[in-house]
Amino acid sequence: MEVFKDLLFGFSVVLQPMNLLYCFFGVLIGTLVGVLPGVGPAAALSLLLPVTFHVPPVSTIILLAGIMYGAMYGGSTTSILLNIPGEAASVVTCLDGYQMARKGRAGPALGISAFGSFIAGTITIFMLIFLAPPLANFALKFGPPEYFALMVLGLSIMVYLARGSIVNALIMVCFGLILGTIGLDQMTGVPRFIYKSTTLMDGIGLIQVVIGLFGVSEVLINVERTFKQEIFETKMKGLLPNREDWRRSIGPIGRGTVIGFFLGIIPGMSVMIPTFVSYVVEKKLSKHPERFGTGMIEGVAGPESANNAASTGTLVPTLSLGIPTGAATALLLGALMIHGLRPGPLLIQEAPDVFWGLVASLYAGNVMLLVLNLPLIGLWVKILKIPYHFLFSLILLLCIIGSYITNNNPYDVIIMVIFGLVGYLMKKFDYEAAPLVLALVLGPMMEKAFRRSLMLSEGGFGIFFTRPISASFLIMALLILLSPLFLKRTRLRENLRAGG
Amino acid sequence: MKKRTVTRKSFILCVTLVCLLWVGSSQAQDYPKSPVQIVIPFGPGGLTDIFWRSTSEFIASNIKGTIVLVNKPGGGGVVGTSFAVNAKPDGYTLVSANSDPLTISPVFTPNVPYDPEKDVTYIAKLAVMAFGIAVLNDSPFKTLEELVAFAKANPKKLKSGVMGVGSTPHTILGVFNRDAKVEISHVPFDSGGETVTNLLGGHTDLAVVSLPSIKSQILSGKTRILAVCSPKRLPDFPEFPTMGEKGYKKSSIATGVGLAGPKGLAPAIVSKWEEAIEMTLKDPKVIAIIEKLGGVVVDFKSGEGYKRELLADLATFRELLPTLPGKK
Repeated sequence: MEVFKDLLFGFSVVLQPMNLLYCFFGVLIGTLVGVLPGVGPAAALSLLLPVTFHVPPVSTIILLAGIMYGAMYGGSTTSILLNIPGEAASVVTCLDGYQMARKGRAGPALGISAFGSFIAGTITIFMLIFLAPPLANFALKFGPPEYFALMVLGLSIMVYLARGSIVNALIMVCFGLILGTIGLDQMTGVPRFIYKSTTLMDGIGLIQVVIGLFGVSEVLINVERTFKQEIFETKMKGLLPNREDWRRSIGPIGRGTVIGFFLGIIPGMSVMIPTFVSYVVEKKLSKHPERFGTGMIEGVAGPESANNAASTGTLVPTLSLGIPTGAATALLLGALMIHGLRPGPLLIQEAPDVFWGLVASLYAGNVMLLVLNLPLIGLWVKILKIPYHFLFSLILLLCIIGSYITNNNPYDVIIMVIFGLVGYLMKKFDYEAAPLVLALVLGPMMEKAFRRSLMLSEGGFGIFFTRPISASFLIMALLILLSPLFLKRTRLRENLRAGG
Repeated sequence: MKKRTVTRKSFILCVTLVCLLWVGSSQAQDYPKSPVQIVIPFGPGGLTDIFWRSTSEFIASNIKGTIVLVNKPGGGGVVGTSFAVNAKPDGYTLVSANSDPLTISPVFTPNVPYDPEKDVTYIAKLAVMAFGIAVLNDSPFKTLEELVAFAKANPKKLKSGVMGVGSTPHTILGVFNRDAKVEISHVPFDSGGETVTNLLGGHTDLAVVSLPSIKSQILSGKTRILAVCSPKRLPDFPEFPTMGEKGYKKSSIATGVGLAGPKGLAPAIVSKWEEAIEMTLKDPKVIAIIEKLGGVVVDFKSGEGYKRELLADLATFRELLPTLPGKK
């Protein structure tokens, strides 16, 4: 087959020693970037852009893409070990990954996220090869009304995220939506709730909120308890996932891959959203949804595969249409253009070595990442053996650096600290952080999509129902919201009762 | 006794500071002694970011120093610009001086914490980024005149993707609407990339976008440019007419990229940078890199020249913007 010939050609490009070396550098830097909270792949790509002038275009793109998906591997590490998400895309991994670590199962958690990422990475490469052009054109059908409908669907499945009381979860959703309104209104430039602060002009930073709510609040809670009990089970139960773990994870990995890839293709979709969707799907399908949030391996395997699949998915519109799906892919395109290449439909004909070399490098890079990450697990897990009264100062330092470094703005640290305190109170009074974070991400996107839709339709609401994609999303959302009325014994109702 | 020590201490401190300042200004000869931080007031991946990362290495070798680029995004460039112009004027904190935060934000955004006239030392202008009016290749509008004729007959029917109110594309559309006496509705998107995506998906009829963000779509034949907002035709797209040629000179607004620092920057430092930048922008290798970005045109101006240009723009926007539709 033609495709396999091309792919073999790609491998012949990648397997040249220099390109392998660039691939290795890329994934290594990516892993580090992923581990460090606050440093995103975009910042690392941007830093390395000048370096790439001196190397051939193929090596450039192999290096830069390596950083992008390498970051998805590394992001889970701090989430699982310290409850600090290394990237926005690994927030969900905190929910069950960190609980696994506390039960002495940090090894299997890290292991399954590495294997899940590897499997997702491998499968999506083939999806990229065979499906890219038709899918990219489908993704273009997502205009503002489709976005809005998708966000409504997202918000309505969010009730399944909640572990405890649904009422409390809804309160957190509203809190998140309110926080999302802070900042300059992107459409009219009207300042909202910023109290003359230039830091707040772009809204409350997601990274700062997440680090505060997860990382700092956890430290505060633990410091309070630390004299009474151990935070982490010091006896490690195995470094790698066992047979039982695999049996439970293989389904979530498969579903996470599909969800991540298809949602990742849609331009402008944050990599975070597929991970939430994957988590919710696993929880819904599980026989023990009530145990999610207490260290279920499914809750790590699904989202971790989803974020890796999504980062391959974002390459679909980038390579086949030349459209950036975010800051990282914009830099990738910039690098290609500086080398005189034209990203887009013509790339595959004009520079087959770049296109097929990149595709093959995705595979080579995933193998390298697996080889790189598995031995590291033993090392990472040792961190947890540090007595907590030493460890917590280290965690706090990491939180401060992470929140500062995203925008190099000291006020961001203050915001992080405030949300650390808020997170502490939330934990005390049994409110969960995940619905808040998702609402903070979805809220502004949803508002903009809604207003843009109405601008397109000159104020008519019909636009949401006459377009097939958006109409079907809205119907699905409605069904989800009404489902408790039809189903007799639902968890939802039990939860409502439980929450009072 | 104690009080005396305090005054003595502060006296010594003052003397040291004055000496340092004096030494600092007189020794512009061996400036820069340590890495110079250039603040990019936008996030990584944006055009300004890519521009600086592609050129800074060459500028650094001409000034015989090290440049460290630091992204401080936020508030449409206001956060980073404000940080840099309030820094110590020692020449080690400079900022990418983009026209948006210096000419448009002061008019649109309340409480911009600097005065573009008094608080900034302008060093040089490096380049302009051109915008264009783009349509899909299968769009019925072949020329700008056809677009205007349709828009006149059907007010508010056409939807144009732009960026948010107060951005250059939004201002271009506003001025164009006023001068062509048409009503094209604007739909604001967050980035150039998003504007292009929505044009390609057929969600908007036209788009006002920066040339680099749509370059690959023009080359692949998916979109066309009806007119570019540039003083003269672009070297890499000579076939596209300019707004000026079509009689809409005032909507020909391009974003300038320059270098600036806090007020009170030593003239010796300023001229050192000015020379280094001028030399860099004559290097054919640098010109080639910049031109490959597509729609970015080298446009060297001295600090004084750039300041005059920006202040003139600022004055125009001050009287213009409040009369634009969408901002009442």
